[in-house]
Amino acid sequence: MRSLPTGQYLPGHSFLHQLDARVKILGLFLLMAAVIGASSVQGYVLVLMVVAICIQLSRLPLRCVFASVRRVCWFLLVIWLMNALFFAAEDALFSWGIFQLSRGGMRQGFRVVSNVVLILLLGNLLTMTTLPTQVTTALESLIKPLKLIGVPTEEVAMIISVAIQFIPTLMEEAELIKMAQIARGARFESKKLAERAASFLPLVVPIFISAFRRAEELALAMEARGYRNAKNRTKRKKEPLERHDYGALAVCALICLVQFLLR
Amino acid sequence: MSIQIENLSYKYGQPAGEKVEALQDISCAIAAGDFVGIMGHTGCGKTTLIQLLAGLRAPTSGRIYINGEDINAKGYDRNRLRQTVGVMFQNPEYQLFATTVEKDVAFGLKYSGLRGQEVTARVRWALETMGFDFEKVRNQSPLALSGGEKRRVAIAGVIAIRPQILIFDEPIAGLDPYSRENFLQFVTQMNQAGTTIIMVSHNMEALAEYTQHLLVLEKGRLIDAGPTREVFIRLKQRKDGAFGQTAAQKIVTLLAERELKLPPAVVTYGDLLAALKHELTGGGRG
Amino acid sequence: MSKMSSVKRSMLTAVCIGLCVVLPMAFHSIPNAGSILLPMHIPVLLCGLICGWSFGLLCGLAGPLLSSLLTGMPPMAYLPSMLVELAAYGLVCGLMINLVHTKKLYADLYISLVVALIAGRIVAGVARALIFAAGRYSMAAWITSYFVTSWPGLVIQLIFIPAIVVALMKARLIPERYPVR
Repeated sequence: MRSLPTGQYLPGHSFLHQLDARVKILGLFLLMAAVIGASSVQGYVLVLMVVAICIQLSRLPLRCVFASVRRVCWFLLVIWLMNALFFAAEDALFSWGIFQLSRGGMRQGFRVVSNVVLILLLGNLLTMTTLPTQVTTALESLIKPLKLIGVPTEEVAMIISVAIQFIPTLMEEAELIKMAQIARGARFESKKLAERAASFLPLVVPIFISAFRRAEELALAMEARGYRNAKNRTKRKKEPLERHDYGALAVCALICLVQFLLR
Repeated sequence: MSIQIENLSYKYGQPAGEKVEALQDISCAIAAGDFVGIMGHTGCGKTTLIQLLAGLRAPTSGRIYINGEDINAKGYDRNRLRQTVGVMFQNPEYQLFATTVEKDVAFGLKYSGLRGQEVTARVRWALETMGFDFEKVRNQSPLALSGGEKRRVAIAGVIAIRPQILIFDEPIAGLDPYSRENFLQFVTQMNQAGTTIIMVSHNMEALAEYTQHLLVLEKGRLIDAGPTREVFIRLKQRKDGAFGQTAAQKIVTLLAERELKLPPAVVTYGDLLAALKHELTGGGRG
Repeated sequence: MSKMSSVKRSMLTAVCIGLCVVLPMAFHSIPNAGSILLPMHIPVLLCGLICGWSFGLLCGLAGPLLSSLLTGMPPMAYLPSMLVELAAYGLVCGLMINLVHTKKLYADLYISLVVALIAGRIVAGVARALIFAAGRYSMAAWITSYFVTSWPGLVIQLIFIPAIVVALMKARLIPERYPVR
C-alpha cells in the first residue's frame, strides 16, 4: 500500500519548522507584498536581508533551497528578455521591428526576475518546513472568513480532505490500469499529435471511470448514513497560537509596513 | 513455451525513503502446457511476480527466461512478449474503454501483424469463445454491459491475442459459483489446447481441482513448489496452520476426530469420494 | 448534469481534485507524454462540465495547489498563472455548459470547451504579463506567445473530454444530457 507523497518537506527542528502553519502562510503573503512593493535601493536591501534571515532560520541546506531556482533559470531568462525587448521606452539602444532593446527594459527585467526569485525562495521555505497536511489544515481555517460572502467553507474543507484521502487509491488504480493496457499492447508513440493523444485514451478513460465509480459509491454511502451537508461535522480541535507565532506575524507585518513607507 | 525463473528479486522505494523487498530470490521452472497455481497471503508478492513475468516491471536482480530467452535482455523484442504472454489482472472490467465491444477486443491486435478480415475473425472467435453472439454484441458499448458481461469482454480482449502463456490474477474472486465453474472450465479448455496457464488464487478448491503444479509464496519468498497434491499435503502438515486446507482435507480432519481415519493423500473431492467408497465398501477392514 | 445531488457532486469534485495530483504522476513514467498532454487540465474541465461552475472553480484552484504541495508538480514558479488558468477553465466551462443547449451533446461540449480554453488562456496570459512585466507592449507579447505555444493542448482536450464524457454516460455514472426517450 502506498503512502501519501510528502512534497518538498524536509524534516527539521528549526524555528521555521516550529512556527504554526497559518502564521507561515500569512507571513508569506505579507513578505510577498513587501517584495513586490520594493521600489528603492533601501527597499531591495531590506527584502534581501529578510529573505537571507529566513533562510538562516530554517537551517535548511542552501543547495536545496536554491535547487528549484536553478530549475527555472531558463524561464527567468525568458522573462528578462521579454522585458528588455518589449518595454516601451524612449532610450532605446537599438530597435528592429517590434523589438526594442532599452536600458529601462533591462532594468525592469532585472527587477522582475529578482522579485520572482525572492518570492520563489520564500515559497520554498514554506513548503520545505511544513508538511502538506499542515498546509491544507491551515488553509482550511484561513478561508473561514470567506463564509461571510457566502462561500461554503466547511463544504470546501470536506471536499479537499476527501480528495487527499482518495489520492493513494487513485494512484494504485492508475498504475494497475496502465499495466493492464501495456500488457494488452498499448503504445504511446506516434508522430501525429492527434494520433498520439488518441493513444492515451485507453489509459485516461478507464482511470476516470473507476475514479467516478468510487466517488459514486462514497456518495451513496454518505447519503445512506444521513449525511446532508458539511456543517454538522464534528470539528477538529484547533491548536492555539503561541507567543512566538504572534511575534513572527508582527515582524512580517512590520517589514511590510516599513517597505511601503520607504517608497 | 516454458518459463524459467532464476534468483528473481524485486525491491521498490517508498516516498519516505525506505525500501520494500517485494520478492526475494525466487527460482523455479514452469513447463510448457502446464497449469500452475500461485498461492499466498495478501501482500506476499503474487501480483509483483505476475507483473515481472509479463515484462511489466524490470527485476532488481535475477533473470526470467521464456522459451530460453531472457526477457529483460537488451534487444529482446517487447512486442513479441506482448503477443506471447496474456495477463488479466483483478477486476479486468476496469480496463474497458472503447466505443464498441469489437474495438475494445481488437485493441490488443493492433501490433499483432493481422489485418482487416483476419482481425475481425479473431475478435469473433474470442467473443464466441466467451459465450457471446458476435453480431449482437459487436457494436454495443462495453461500458453499458452488465458486470458479468464486462468481465467476459475483458477476457475476450486478452485471449484474442492467442497468447501461449495466460496469467490470471485472482480471476474468480467475487464471482458467483456458476460463473466460477464456467471460468474454470474455459481455462481448462485453453490449457488442453496447449496454452500454459498461471493462476493466482485464494480459492483452495479451485487450485486443488484444476492445477497441476503449485507455487506457494510467503512474504516475498517461495516457500514451497511442486505437484499440487504433494504441496497441499505438506501444507496441511505445517504446525502453524498458516495456510488453509481444501474442503476435502478439512473433512478428513473432522472425520479423524470421529475415529474414521482416511489416508492423508486426500486433497480433492475426487480423492475424498474414492477414499470414502473404499472405506464404506469394506475395502480396508471387514 | 444538474440532476445529481450535492453530495455526489462534492464527491466527484473531490475525485477530480485527486486526479489533478495523480494524472501527472501516472503520465510521468511514459516517455513521450511530456507537457503536451497537460494532464491536469482534464479533470478540471470535466469537473466544470459535469458538476457546475462553482465546483469547477474549486477544482481549478485546489487541484494545482494540492499537486504542487504534494508532488512538487507544477513547481512553485508556475503555480500562480496555473491557478488562474485552471480556475478560469473550471468556471467558464461550467457556466457555458449551462447556457448552451444545442440539443446535440458534442456541439454543447465543443462550444463550452473552446470558449473555456480560450478564456482561460487569455486570463493566464494577462496574469503572466502582470506578474512578469508591466509595460504595455509586453502584455500583447505575453498573450500571443502563450497562445502560440499552447494550441496543441486545445486539440488534445477536444479529443479527450468528449470521449470521457460519453464513456461516463454509457457507464451510467453521470446522467445523460439529452436522454433518448
